[in-house]
Amino acid sequence: MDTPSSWALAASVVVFALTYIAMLSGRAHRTTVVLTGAAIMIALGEGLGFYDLHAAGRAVDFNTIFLLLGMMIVVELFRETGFFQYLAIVAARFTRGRPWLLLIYLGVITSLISMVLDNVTTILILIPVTVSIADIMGVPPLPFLIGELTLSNIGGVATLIGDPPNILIGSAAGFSFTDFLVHLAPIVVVCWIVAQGFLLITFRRSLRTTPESVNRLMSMNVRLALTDRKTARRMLIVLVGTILLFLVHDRLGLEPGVVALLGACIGLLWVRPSLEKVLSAIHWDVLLFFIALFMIVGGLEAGGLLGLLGNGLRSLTAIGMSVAVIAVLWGGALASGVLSNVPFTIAMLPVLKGLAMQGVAVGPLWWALALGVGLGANLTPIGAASNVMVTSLGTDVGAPMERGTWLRTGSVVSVLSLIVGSGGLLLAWSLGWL
Amino acid sequence: MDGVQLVPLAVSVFLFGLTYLGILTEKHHRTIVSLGGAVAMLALGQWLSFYTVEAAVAAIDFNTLTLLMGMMILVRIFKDTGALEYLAIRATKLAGGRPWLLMVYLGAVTSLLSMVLDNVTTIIIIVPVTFSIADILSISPVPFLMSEVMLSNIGGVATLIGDPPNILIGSAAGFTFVDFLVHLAPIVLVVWAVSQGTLLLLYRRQLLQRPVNLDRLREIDPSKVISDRRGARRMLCVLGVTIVLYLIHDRIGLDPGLVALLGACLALFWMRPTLDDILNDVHWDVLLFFAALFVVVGGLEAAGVLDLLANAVAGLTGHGMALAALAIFWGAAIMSAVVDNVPFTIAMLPVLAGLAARGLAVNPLWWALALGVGFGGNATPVGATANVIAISMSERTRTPITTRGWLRTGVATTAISCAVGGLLLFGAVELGLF
Repeated sequence: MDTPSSWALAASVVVFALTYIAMLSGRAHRTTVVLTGAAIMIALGEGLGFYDLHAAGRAVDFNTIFLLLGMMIVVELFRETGFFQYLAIVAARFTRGRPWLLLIYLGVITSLISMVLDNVTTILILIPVTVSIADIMGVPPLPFLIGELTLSNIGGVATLIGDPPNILIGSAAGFSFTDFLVHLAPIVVVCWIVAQGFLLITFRRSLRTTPESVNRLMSMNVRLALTDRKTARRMLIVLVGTILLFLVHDRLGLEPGVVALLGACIGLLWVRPSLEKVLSAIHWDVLLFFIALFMIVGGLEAGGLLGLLGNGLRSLTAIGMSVAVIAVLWGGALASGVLSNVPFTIAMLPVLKGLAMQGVAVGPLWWALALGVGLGANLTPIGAASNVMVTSLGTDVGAPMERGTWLRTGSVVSVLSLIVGSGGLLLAWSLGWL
Repeated sequence: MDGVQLVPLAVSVFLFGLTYLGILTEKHHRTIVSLGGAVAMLALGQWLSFYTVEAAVAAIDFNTLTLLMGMMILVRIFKDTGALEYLAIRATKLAGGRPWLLMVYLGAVTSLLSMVLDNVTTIIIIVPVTFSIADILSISPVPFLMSEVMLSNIGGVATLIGDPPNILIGSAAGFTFVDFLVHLAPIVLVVWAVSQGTLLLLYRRQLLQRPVNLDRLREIDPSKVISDRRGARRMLCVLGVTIVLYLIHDRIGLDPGLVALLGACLALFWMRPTLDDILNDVHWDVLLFFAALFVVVGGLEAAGVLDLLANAVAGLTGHGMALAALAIFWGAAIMSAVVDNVPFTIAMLPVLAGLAARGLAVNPLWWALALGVGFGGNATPVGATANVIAISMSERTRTPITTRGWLRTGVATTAISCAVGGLLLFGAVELGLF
């Protein structure tokens, strides 16, 4: 395709900008806005000759979509068995009713789970559980919700499947599950400890309980939470099998998305649930949101904008890789907080890929992006889809989030972790580990 | 790919056969079966290096999926306004309580609706209304049900969007909305009239009954069924705009799928329904089913199987295009009476497309396929999805449709409609109109 005209560039940027503004205004559902934006982008593209429905289809990263869909199905099959509630109550009992210990344990569990499952689903499962446990223990739920949310955003950065941006980056850069563990997990662990410490200090006053509440907690029959043991056991096998396949997927020549779908299919065939029930529990609006967003960004790329961005970044790397790394880290964090992690990552993928094709060594930049976008998601209440879930679901269960609360907690966590992350990245870069 | 390798060939045929058999026996939900087949095809294909995720995604026809999804959204929003029930009741009142006229009017309304909306939704709405009307008039609803279902199956053949096989064929062959109208609508009209006549004849005894409660019928106010007046008017506008866009889509360079998506987005913005409710009602299992089948058949194609099949069909056309068309018409009709339309059509698409790529003028064969698949579905209770739905809905009443009952009417009507249709098809091809 010959260089797109300036009409194409203007049209694609205008549609992109309007879509984002409409999304931020919150007037209509995000998915509706983005779907319409994609439709208009394609329509204009077909009219001006720089984009069409088939190119839009190719712009969608289906490996990501399959991965999300597959894991959503696996998680839905799991959720119905009560397994996650079981885990949460066990953790709470371990703490023998000490709320600060509960904050740590719930944070650990959420982070561990969110390294394996996507953050949105993790949060969706744990919110009602957390609220009821907090209720039993007579403590406010908000500290725990914020703790779980921020720590799961941080923890999810450590693995390929831990959060959507990593899935996207892994797919675009060709990184495997183990690549992520080796490069990012060390930095993430340090960030996590720092963040957890900060949260404990900030929330110390809310974390006090009474002996009656402790008694109530300890007398809960934890086995009752697990309503379907047979299915839970089967799904545990499926989940472990899927994770093992994830670890060796590149050696088998299978894409992670296919592995996830495989796990989902085996789960569906083994557990024989009602398909309608499973399908209706899947967040189709999230999947459609991603698909439409990919199409919009594809239109931007076809319009020529991302070529310009790539040039700018290349000049930065010419000045020095460490400069570019820090720029991508902090720039990515800011953009991710303001624009939400996934849309921004999607926009950056073609830029870095383009640079790679021009021969620039983009490895460190990918890691800086993953870290920046992941840690930056905590900056604002809309930095990630899971943030949005907590804010809206929180209002439903009587734990509304006030404006100032996020600034005092999430944003600070984000900045602290980014500082740690910068240090870690620069250290790794100078030691040649990246 | 030069030469057909044996192992990929055998594996892909085996998986294809297993999947289609699984769909036929209906032991598991067909979406799960097809998903499993698709994942197996993809996994084995990647392992044996004859299939990739890119190829699989390229095999999925997004135009079709987008079209289906867009129309599903549109229909769902339209359904909520009560406008469709209104139409049915007005038709009833117009008939003035004469059963034979009632059958003709209801048949006409259902057919017209199913040219624009999918058959299944149309039937789901019209059937309960028919039950209540028959109940009021104290006559058996069965003749009207049968007539509605069969005539809507026939009527849906006339337009690009009238039934899924047409959408599939239109997308693969590159036919426009107007192409379908010009080529198929005349034949469909004649066949419709003939079938209506056949049905009137077959049910003449029931239709001679004297209905009671005619004054109760007169008292019914159709406008009471409309739950959302303004919404109904808006949706009629949206549908009108969508149909106009369909009529000119090729001239403004828009894919039909995009038209459907634009229509859906317009409806979503103008009507502001709860997006989650709408998305929950989209038949995701149907969309996944289609997508998975595309992937399975794509595997067959990648292994080179369909080239072999195409050779066989090419041999057929050596005997004369009109005869070949007739053979495909009757073959499709018989298959579609026994097997679900969609898997059969999806399997035929690459065969005919392959022939077209070799330079054969296959248009008559496409039309033959569309007609055969559409008309043949009336013969048995399982021939089309709408049949299954109508029967299952009738089973909850005092006058359920039995398999025998269906076959008696269905086989006769189908035989006559196919005879007439086949003749017209033969004539059209011989006269060079196709």
